[in-house]
Amino acid sequence: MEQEMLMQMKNIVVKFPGVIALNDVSISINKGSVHAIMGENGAGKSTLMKVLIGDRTPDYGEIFFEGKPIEKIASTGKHKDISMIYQELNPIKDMTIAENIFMGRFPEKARGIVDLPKTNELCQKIFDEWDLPYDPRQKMNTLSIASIQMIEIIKAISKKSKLIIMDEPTSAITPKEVEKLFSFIRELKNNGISVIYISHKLDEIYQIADHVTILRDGEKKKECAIEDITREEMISCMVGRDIKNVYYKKEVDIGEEILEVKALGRKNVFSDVSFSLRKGEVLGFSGVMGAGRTEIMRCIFGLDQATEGSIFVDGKRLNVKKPMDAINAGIAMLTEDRKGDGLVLCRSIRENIALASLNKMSRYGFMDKKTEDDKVNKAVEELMIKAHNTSVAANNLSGGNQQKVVFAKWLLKDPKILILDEPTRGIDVGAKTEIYHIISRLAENGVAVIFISSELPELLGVSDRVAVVASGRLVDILDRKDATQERIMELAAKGEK
Amino acid sequence: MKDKKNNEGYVKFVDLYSKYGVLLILVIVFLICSFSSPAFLQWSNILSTLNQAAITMVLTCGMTMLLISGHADLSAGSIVALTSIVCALTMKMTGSAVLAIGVSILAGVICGLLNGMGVCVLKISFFIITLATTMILRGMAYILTDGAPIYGMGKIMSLGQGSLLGIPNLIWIAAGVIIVTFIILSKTVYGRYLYAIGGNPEAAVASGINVKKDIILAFIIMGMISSVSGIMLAGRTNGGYPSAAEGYEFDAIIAAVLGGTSFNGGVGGVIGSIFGAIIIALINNGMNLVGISAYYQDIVKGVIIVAAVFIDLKTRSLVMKQ
Repeated sequence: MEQEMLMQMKNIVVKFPGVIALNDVSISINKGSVHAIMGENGAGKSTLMKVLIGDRTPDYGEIFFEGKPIEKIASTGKHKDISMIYQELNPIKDMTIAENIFMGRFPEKARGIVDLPKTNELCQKIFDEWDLPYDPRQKMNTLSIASIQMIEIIKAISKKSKLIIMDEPTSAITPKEVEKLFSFIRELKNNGISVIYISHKLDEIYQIADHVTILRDGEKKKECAIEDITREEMISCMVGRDIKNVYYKKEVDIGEEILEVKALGRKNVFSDVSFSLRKGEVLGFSGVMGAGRTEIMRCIFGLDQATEGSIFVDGKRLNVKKPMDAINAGIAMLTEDRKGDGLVLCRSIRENIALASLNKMSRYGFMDKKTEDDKVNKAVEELMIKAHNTSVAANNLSGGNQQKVVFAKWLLKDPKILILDEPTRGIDVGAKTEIYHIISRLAENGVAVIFISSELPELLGVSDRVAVVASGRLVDILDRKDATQERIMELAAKGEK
Repeated sequence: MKDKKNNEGYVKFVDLYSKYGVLLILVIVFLICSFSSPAFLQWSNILSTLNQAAITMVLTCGMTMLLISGHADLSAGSIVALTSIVCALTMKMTGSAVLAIGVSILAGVICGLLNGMGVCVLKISFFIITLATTMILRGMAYILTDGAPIYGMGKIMSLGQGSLLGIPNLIWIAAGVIIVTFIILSKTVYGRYLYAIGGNPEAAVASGINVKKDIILAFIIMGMISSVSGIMLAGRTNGGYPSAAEGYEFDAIIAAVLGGTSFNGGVGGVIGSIFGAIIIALINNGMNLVGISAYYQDIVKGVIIVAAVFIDLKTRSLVMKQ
């Protein structure tokens, strides 16, 4: 290799009780390169990263940084050479950008007294150096997710980190912002900073990565340059089996109209949204985050209040004030944030699945345990939720399985209309395909499905029609046969103005 | 190899402790008490210890339900005092035990309703609301009595001081409340909702649960349970004292937390809480028998609670990591 090696992990072994999380995994990262680490949920990616940043001591193995062995890397704060940008960002929202960047290592006037002007000055210097348009005095809570992410990266740079780990950095930002992020990553590369890039999105990996390491079941399955591997190889290597039809859709007879939304609006969020939905139909909703897709659905489901317009279910006007009203009308919604308002993490799989349909499993307010077990077990089997038993807390499941638990909760309710908001975000390819199958099966049974997604290929793969939302307006609805990625992007761009 | 084996043994211990930890502590405390004083193991001593703990146990039941739903009632002690006075006053005025009990329970329900409305309608944090009602209700207790105790409870005194089949009435009442709470928490739809609301209120709302109604109901139940404690107290002490039951709410919270109920909601159960209450009662009794002064007793109790909860936290986080 002509390039200089920055970091090397050798023969890392991590054992959890009963499971080997990492078995003899070695990777090496070159200076100024972007190294993608891929694998399904539970493949060992996050454990490997935890070992690297010192959150977990490996049972066996060594780490070398710039040729020197690291005995035991202390937590991120102390080890400034390696920084990690987490998927879920936790800035201190009421403080300024500069304060967030220099948190924990403020320049001081005297011992214990923060030199705020100096902090701002130092911060501005970094922004100038990297040609970034931020104001050090701006409060964090005025920034978009993409900007907060950028600030986190800047924070890593300001610590003179040589290796930055990014965990699914694009899961919550718009395509435009992704482009910005990528050009910034390229700049980092040019400055000799290495990046470990974790993502489920193959397109991105091809755009940005130089090398890729694929993990499966705690073992390294492949490490090679990005040019030497095709998409199909990558997928089959991650999943361990060939997935031919990633997107699955069965032709279904579409029935009568079940939902009609007329001129729905919410002040300052979205306005004049009209569409209709028929039994057995899958209506895709595309648009960037913040375009209003989620907000429209939240109003239909009663999580927020619409300020204008009306909703009709089965021809009857529905007045939704709270989710209960929507649920009683046969609407179910799998929310975008499965940890936020989908699951009760500390409770068992069984309780989570049963939660919305307890009245069907009880008599006079007392639980009928047998009916509950029957129904829950059937759902677990049907959706292939992988767990020892249904008493396991939802917290202990992988992302894909958690999502399936939320699915199961709503399937038990036999909804007529099912709203799915980014149901495949952050879950692995195998589980995604299973979810497409579930959607198809539901449509076959006459359930009307609204499917929101930022990933165009999957949206085109599973939808009968695709609605394009931009800047709080429904720009157009395309039929399956007319919908292409280009057409959708074009409409979205038009709607932005 | 040896290291691994040790590790497995440790994990097993952690697993067992997370399930039966309170029971373990209870056994240890029981053994220490029995070795340190011969008087401890006498049936009469154990009965009287439980009898003294009965009121705390009843209060602990309601507090456990509230904690599971992610709330707590700091005014419980004041409600106990106020309802015991309402009970004593009604008794004095009408001479009817049934009426006195009925009016006290009604008073408790109203107190609970006020707390619940404050939390769900005014949307003020339960901490602030119940802290405020602590003062308001205590003040009312003093106003109603003009600051002086009321003596003479008649039939209610025989209820509070008598016994049935050799076991004091108060223990029977506590047992009844414990069983009802256990059934509510583990066998009913409402119990399930409480766990869900405490675990993740947003998810509960999005699942179509009427969260506000259920929380108000939990406060009402707490008020009712406090009034039962108030009646028990009036019976046992043969009167109503405006300064009574101060700090009872903390005893209840501590018992519940010691028993594994999370202060963050969503986790716990009434059996653990009752074990927690019994542990505290045994420690009190044991120290009394050995002759440790009351001032030192508080310190010992405080230290034990921190230790128990700390071990509990540690084991729980380990179980989570698995």
